[in-house]
Amino acid sequence: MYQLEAVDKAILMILQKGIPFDSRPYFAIGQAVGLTEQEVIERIKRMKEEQIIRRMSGFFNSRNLGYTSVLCAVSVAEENIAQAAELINSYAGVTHNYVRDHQYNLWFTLIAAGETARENILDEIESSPYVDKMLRLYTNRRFKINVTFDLEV
Amino acid sequence: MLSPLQIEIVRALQNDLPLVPEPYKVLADGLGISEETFLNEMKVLQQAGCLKRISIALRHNNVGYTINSMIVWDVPEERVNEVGEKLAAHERVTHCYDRNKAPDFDYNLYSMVHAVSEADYQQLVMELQELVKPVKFAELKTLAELKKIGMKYFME
Repeated sequence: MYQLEAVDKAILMILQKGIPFDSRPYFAIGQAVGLTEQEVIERIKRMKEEQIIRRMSGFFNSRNLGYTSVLCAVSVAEENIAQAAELINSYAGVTHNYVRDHQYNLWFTLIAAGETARENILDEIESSPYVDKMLRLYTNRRFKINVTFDLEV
Repeated sequence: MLSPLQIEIVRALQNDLPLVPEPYKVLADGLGISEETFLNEMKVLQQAGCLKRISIALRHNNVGYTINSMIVWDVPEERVNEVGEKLAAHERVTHCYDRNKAPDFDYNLYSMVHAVSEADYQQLVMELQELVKPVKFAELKTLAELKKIGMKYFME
């Protein structure tokens, strides 16, 4: 595993908080951590190559873009997990899919352009022979979404 | 309602930001608009609550956070707001949602945590229990990640 240096962690903490809406954002980050613009670019490139950074792009509020989302759990027999996952993951709006330690063992999130589209996809998944049962867990209230990891700089 | 230009900007920003000195200029050039217009529209989208920020998703397993767990709680309806806010205020909780209960999944508050070791995780669960108690809860640890992507909007 790539060993992060202190300055890498400092860059990651800034990137997690948000890249400036500025003509020269990497220059601004360099100013904050004591590197040149080119050094910041090289370090980010390296951390992407080394599988530290998964993506670096816009984070959007799906609801305010007119989309709707849902968390779903399905129970799938152990021997059918690969086929069920292949079906579930085939939908572009499925953004997360995890195996969890529970009777409902596959947990996925779906983002869709409207309620009809969302329910149609869920119906298709639910009717798969590989899926035994499904829970549709709609959000009543979102208290928090803030995926920021403290890297102990 | 987003304008056609704003939709183009959302599409441009959901790809990885170019690693060049003027990344927004590259994106603006691609849309045939000025960098100034592009940056202004980004601010408008942010103020409208559409664009949260330009940021990174870390592969948390590769920066030490190898334990990931969804902890779900069965909280009485009259305590949901109080407990949800308490959980959300904990710095190690990355997501916290109130969801509808299901017939055979009798939990309504969902919290997501990430930990660097089993000891760290157990300590974290204890802290959250202190905040929430006394209610039934379940820990659903992540055993495998089968898909994790950023949503691509306006592609249909």
